[in-house]
Amino acid sequence: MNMDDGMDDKRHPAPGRLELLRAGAWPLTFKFTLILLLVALLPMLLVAYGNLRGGLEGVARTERANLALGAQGLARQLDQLIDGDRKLALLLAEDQDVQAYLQAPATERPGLQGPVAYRLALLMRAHPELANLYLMDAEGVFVAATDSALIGARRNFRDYFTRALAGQVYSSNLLMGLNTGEPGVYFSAPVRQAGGRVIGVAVVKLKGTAVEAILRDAGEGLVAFLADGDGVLIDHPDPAWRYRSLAPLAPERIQAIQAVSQFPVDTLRPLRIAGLEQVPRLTGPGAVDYRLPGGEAWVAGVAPMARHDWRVILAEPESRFAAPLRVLFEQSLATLAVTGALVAVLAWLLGRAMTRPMLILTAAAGQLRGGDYEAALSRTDLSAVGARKDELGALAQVFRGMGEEVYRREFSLDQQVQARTRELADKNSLLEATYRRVDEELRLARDMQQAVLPQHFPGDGRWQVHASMAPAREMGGDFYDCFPLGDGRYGVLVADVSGKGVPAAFFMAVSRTVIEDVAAELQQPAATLARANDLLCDRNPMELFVTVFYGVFDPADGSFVYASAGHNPPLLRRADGRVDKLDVARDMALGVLPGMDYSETRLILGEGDLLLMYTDGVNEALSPAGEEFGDARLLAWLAQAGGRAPERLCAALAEALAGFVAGAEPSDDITVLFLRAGAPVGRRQSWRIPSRVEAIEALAADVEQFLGHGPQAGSGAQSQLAFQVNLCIDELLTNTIQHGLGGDSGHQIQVSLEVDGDWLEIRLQDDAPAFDCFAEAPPPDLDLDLEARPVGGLGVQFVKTLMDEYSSRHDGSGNLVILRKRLAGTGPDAAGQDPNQLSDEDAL
Amino acid sequence: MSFSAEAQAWADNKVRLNLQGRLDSATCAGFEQQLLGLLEPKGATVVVDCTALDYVASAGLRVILMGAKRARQNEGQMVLCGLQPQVREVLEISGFLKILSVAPDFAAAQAGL
Repeated sequence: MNMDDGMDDKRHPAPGRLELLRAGAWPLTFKFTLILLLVALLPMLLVAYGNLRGGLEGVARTERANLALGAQGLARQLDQLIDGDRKLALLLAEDQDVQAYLQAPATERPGLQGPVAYRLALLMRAHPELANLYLMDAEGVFVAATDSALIGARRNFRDYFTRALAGQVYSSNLLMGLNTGEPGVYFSAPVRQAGGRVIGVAVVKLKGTAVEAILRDAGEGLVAFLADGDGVLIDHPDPAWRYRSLAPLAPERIQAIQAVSQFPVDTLRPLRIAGLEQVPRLTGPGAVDYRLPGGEAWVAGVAPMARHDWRVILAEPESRFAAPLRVLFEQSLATLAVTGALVAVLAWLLGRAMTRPMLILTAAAGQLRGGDYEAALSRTDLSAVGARKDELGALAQVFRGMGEEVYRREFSLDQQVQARTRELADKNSLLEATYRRVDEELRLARDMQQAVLPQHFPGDGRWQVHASMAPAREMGGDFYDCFPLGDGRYGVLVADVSGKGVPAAFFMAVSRTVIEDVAAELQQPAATLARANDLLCDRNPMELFVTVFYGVFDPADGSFVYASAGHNPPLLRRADGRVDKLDVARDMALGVLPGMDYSETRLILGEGDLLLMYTDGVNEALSPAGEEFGDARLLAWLAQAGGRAPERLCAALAEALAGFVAGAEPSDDITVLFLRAGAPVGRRQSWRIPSRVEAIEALAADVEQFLGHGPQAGSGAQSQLAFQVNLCIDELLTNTIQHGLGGDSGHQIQVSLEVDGDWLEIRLQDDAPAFDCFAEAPPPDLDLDLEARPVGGLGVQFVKTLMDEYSSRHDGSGNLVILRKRLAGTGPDAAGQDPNQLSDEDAL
Repeated sequence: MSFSAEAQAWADNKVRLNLQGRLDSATCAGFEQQLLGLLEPKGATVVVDCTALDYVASAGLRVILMGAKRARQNEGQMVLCGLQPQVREVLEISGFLKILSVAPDFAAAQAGL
């Protein structure tokens, strides 16, 4: 047995099917059992088989000899019978009365017949085996017979007559009687007169049944039969075998035999049984083996007769004497099987007893590897193996010692790691607290920085302005401003301080104060920037600088005078949708060098013109793929963004940028300022309603009123708009109340409407779990028949049909549904977008 | 505005149902009972007169669809008449005009029975 193989098994505990075909993958117990079985059972099996073969051969040999002896015995009995009847024929031939009877002329014979007939009848009575006794004259005519019917018949052609007439004593084959048709053996002897001349023949016919009787008495289970000198079976218990030749005969011979013997068959067909073909060639007693056509094996003894050319064959099937031996062999096999099973069980138990300690050690080692030291070392079966006095016991003890040592080391290492971890955690929490404090202060500073920027903007029926600044995470230095100059004009500016962090924030505060002060005093943009530059250069210890775009707007005539200190040029969208960059002089940023000059430009803003001032945080915003938002995208966005109030534009641009960066933290402050000349656009109203369907009717009245205030108030188109808007709001609110909130009336839903330029925008905000009615509701099949038409599912279909754009999203606290509808009387969407899906860029 | 439905029988097993106001999810429950009750007798005829119906939402359409199905089951008839343009548009969007019997006014509805 191979220990390595056993270990292999444990390392690969689940060998595949193919793996089991390799002896190396067999479990040890299996191998052990197999070896024991081979050692114990194979020799027994071989011995038993050898015994059977030897026994069978010996018995067959003996049986052949017995059969040969039996055949000889039968042959002797037949010889005696034939000898006796032959002698009888001789006796009859030498009888004086018979001689006298045959010597007498035919005319005298009737007088002599009495003693002869008496003689024949007497012999007949004394020999029941005889069929008949005859006397024939020299002409071959029956002159006396026990069967008187035969008297007068002529048989001079038959062998027994011709041979006897020639002076021989003759025994015939087993022939058929011409009159009776019964088989019989004819014995004949010559009857001579005193001078020796043959005057007649005496014939004795032995009954065929007498021969049969001897053969049939051969013994239980044995078959005896008789072959004549030609090898033709003249007697057999099976009529089908009778008159068939053991070996094939020549056709002439068959004709000759038939002529003499009168056998009751057409031809003498050969048997064609290989073993029996040898019988006619045997000269003395012997034995042959043969097989019947069915395959059964037979053994036969053969004995030639002394008084005739016949052979007696005594046969029996091999199974008759082999059967007991086979039973014996089967018993041996059964014993062998039982012994084998016992050996197998014993071997398996023994094998298991030998491999069990190894399996226990393997399992314990597995637990050790898994880190389960206590379980591995406290195993009771491992202790039991350790208590053994043999090699395995020693191995188990060494294994335990090793495991305990590993456990001890692991434990102390663990302790050290835990101590270090605790120290680290302490330091970490200290660091974290410090970080939180600093972070909180920075956040406050950032909020402060934003709070100091104006939150309320001037504006009236002639112009509107709005700005916003979204700070980056790190403190930056963007700012905007918008202040009246006292003479009806207003100063607007955006600025970007170089650098980041606290210094930039301080410099921003200083810059803003300086510019506002100077602007109030000097009125003109170029002069203001020049003066502010000088002042900032004086107060710039960190050598920071700030780019500024500063313009002065006069609502009275729409004039806008501006100057730029190194700032990127603003964009101007004319009322007709044209967008251009403003021409700006390339003047120096503030705080770099004192004594700089700045140039001024003047333009007129007409009704609906829109000015966008911004810092580079806008066009340099990065998408997740690292792509800049860029000037082109900004120009395109502005081109389609017209017709809205500056406040909405600030929010819309912020959303467009948020969509572009897709959640990335902005790397720079984002500052935008929109200035719009002309009458204000956009109206907006919000309602908060309780989550009950009964509240919808009152809201519908408010909505109708809000929409009725538009320029087309009271017209049919407006009334249709109100109907459609109310229908959509009704359907979505009902959906939210009944499905999103499950009928809970304790919630509030915010509904807001805004008319902004050509668009009506409807927002519904709830606090229900995420539920996108547009994605989840399957469109109803409008072509179904009345019976097949499902009841319900139409509300969302109304919204999709009646609104131009719709979207739904869950922002973490609730669902926000935004519907947009282009108001009647305006052209198609300027940006040519898919009217059915709202993109993030213009989600307002 | 709210909602009301007033039933007038003008012949045996023939009822005119005058709808008025808003038929929405808040008001449709009572209407459902009333309409299905009127259509319950075998061979009942109901003309739903919508002349004064200002508003209908999908909840209301659902009841009308159930009514039409009930009428067909009971070998009765349900006809809508006097639809205001916007109510008619809602029925059109929902595909109901294709499967419901609609008449311009009550007289036409009576004539078409």
